[in-house]
Amino acid sequence: MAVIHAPQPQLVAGRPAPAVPMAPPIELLLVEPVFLVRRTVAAVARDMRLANPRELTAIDQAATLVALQAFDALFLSLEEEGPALELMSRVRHGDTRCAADVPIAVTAAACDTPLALRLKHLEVKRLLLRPFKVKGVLDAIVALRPVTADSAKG
Amino acid sequence: MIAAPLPTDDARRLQALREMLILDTPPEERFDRVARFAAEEFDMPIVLVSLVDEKRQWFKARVGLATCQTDRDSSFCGHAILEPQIMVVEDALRDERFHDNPLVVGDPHIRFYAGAPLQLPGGAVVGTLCLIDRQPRQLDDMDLAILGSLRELVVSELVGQGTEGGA
Repeated sequence: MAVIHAPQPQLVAGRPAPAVPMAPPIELLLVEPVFLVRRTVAAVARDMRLANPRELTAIDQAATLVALQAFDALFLSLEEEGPALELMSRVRHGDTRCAADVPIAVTAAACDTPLALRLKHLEVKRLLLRPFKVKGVLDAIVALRPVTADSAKG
Repeated sequence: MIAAPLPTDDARRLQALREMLILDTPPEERFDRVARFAAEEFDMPIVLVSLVDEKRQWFKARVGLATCQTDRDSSFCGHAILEPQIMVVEDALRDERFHDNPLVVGDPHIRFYAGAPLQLPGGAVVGTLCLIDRQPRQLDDMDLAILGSLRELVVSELVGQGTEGGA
């Protein structure tokens, strides 16, 4: 026989506060062409105080922006692989307003050995292959954040 | 089963719903897209954009469910529209409100439900974006935040402020 409990207020916040003390949100450049992915990632990252994302759809927009503004982390789609690799190369050579060692994560439709080696050379911290879940992107954003005393304990 | 109670402002809520002129309209990609995305993101067999009418809940978008409406009394969404936050029923068989609900003991055999209320800018809650599974589930804080974000996209489409037509 199933045990029946009285109605439980299984209500939980739709916009929850972070479960543990966190470092301040990072300034994140997010380049993602798929609207639902980009908008959902940005909204949740903002709500959970993981990041203040700047949403862009294309690498050329990002190239223009990093010439003007520094970011704490970059999350780039490799849909435009050549321009994206060129942008990362410029970042690593200190040719943008971002720190040359700024953490970078990328998404890609596929990754062969030459691309993997190139990404390793560019010190990319995370690679997500499509199809991926929003939650995977958010986990990767967490990994781009600086390690703090609080997060290190967890 | 505890039938879905009526909000005190149900007449005003229904007026807001009907003024949208959306009930019984054909499926639209802008809503179907969000439902499909949620189904894939959460690995859910059933995802609905449900609008709670006077005597029924009618689905503007649906993944994994053949029927386009059910009665309001037995609806989970009828309960969820009363809550200011996402309503989660981790196991319907262990919840007094739903354990003998016809949607639990019969098709579609709901065990898990999470419904994010669709609240219009004027305050009326017209329905939910809801996730349904046939087995008990749990959602963590990040899942709930993702569902909340997708809910906001549905509300934007309902009020005609969708920002992009792409996938």
